[in-house]
Amino acid sequence: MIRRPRTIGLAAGVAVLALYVVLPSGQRSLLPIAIALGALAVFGWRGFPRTFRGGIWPVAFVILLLGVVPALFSIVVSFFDVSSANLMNGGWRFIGLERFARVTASPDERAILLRTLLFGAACVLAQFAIGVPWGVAIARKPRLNWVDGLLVLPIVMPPIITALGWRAAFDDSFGIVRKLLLALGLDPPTWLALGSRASAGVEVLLPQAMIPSIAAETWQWAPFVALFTALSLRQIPANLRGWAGTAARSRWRTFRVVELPLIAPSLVLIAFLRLLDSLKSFESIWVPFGNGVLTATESIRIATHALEIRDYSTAAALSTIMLAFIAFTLAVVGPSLVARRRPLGG
Amino acid sequence: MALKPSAADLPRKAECRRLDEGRAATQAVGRAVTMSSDGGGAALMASGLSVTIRSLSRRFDDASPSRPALEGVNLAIAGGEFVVILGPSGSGKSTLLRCIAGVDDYSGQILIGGEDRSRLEAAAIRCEWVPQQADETFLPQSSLARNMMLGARLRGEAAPTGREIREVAESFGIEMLLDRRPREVSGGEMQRAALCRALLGRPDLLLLDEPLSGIDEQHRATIRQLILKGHRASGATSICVSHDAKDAHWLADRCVIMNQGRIEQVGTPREIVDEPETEFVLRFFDAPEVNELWVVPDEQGLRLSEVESPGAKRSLIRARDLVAVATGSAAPSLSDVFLARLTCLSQRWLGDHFQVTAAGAAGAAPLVASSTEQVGSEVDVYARRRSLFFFGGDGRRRAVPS
Repeated sequence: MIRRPRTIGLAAGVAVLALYVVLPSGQRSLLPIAIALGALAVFGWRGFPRTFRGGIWPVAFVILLLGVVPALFSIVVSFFDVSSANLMNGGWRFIGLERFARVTASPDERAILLRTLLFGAACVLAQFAIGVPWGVAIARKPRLNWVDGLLVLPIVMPPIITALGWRAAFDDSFGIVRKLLLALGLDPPTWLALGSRASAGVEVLLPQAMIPSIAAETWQWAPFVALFTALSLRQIPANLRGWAGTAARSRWRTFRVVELPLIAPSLVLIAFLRLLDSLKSFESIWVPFGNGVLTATESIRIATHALEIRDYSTAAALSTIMLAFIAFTLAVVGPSLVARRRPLGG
Repeated sequence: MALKPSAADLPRKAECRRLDEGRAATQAVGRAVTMSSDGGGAALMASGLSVTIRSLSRRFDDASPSRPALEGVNLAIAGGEFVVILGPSGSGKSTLLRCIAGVDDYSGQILIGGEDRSRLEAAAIRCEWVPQQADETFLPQSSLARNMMLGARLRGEAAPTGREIREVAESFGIEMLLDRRPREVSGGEMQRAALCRALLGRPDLLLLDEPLSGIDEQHRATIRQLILKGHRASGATSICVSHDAKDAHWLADRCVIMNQGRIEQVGTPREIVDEPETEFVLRFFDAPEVNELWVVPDEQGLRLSEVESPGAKRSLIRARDLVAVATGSAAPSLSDVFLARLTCLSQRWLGDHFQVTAAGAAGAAPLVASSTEQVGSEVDVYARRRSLFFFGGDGRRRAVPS
């Protein structure tokens, strides 16, 4: 019997949303399974069929047919020796957990996992450092106009275009960022050369070479954070803001004492989702650096194995590890985020 | 052997108990406010601020251009005064309060303590505004007690102690709700919590927007006493918006009657009852039923007339100022004017007196008057001369014709 069905339901919803964001398109087909499990958790076995009333069976059937098969294929591949040579013509040899053992035993792999996490955290911090104050400024405007509509532009921009743009901006010879910093009398590093090096003397977890990638991610997603912050703030009743305004010593105090506690749960949730999304960033790292030793993250490793080495088994094993890591994080952190009852300062 | 109370005594005893409870509660509010003031030092001593409003206008973007929410409002409120603003829905009273609170934009000038409102920092005055939807001003995830500390946190000063909060909450009868979240209490309880918070803020300027709207009739008298006590103890200038004339009678030093974004009349409740300046004020303020009469002056004073009669003047009188007595009886008082002999058509009990509907010739508009006479009996209808009011076509008061 479920004691807190609402909390669990919300957690399930968040999990589904997060999975949709983090999963590669091929594995989004796992969503129906997640939804079914979530519904099972919320309604219990006896109430389960209720979820599927109202004609969603046909949709569920199509999704299952189109989605689950490729997802299962990907998981199955990680247990067999599959490369470009035998992908289509069969003859797969069962290797069990061999690929999993190999990648987890590698010290490089552990460093890359840590770097991926640090990269994700840095991206989220930068996006929030810019997005939240920006969102506050937008929310204070009496009404939004077409300029605010431009906020969605970076979000809808293909990531590869964004990455190319930022690669040009950080170019070691002609990049505008480098020129600006030189004009200011600073001595910027040659980012692209540093990040693209095939080998490095010292292993650095999050070298400054990754700044172009973090900039590209921030440019693309800070407006989303700003938009979300502004919309959250606009949901606050005008009477509450007005009342706080009659007493507050400053606008900052109103924000800190009244507004932030109200929007904090949403911001934490968005930060978490942005973190999960940043963990699988690909274009922003691949375009400037390729498979650089100092800049490779999990998604770069997966892509290298799948597209260059054509070792599908290792790529699938890495994907499955990443998926398991994200699912574990979601299961542990997600519900507590949603069930958070007393936000900051409340 | 102790006598059992008779049935007639019971309501009186219950009323006494309520009054005693109210008295005890008001003492607690007074104590808490005084204690807060003392504890905060001289700088925190509340003192009422004068409010001066000059040519105030407020127009909503989506409203029709011919109908601003406020237009040309002028008003002067002395420091420490309690003013009740009354008016029908849409008359602009809440908007006026929001402008004074600094929540809404406006054109014109509002001076608070002689300082221009638009240039005044929120921290410069201790203003407590309780909007009509008071629940919206509470953080939903925090308990009522923590919400009551919000004002102090916003001002950056020491929050009221648990004891202070408990004492004031106790006087408002919500001490058992302090640990609950806003969604776990009723609308009326939220309203009381909002009043508690406002009084805990030791205001110089207390702005209340229909503070009793969600409170049941049983508690209203007590809450009115608490508001008044808090007002007196803090010395604040208080402005209260209401629909209920009872609030004006209980609370107001002066009333402001508003209609369609303008002020119709300002005066003490007594002045407004005795000398309404416009037909609107007469009909709106404390007069559930008003009779429209056509009267002709004659040598005895005034006599009821048909509408078409030459020389007939249109007059208005509150139902409670018309008295119908059995035919042949003496006039209820010397100043009363005999108007007509009519027949009682119906009778009803209004809680404290009987009222009858009486008419003369078929087709003539019936009058509503105070009376204990039975249906079907003939009655003589008298009017209190000072209660007959004459208004011109513009709705403004005219002198009594002679």
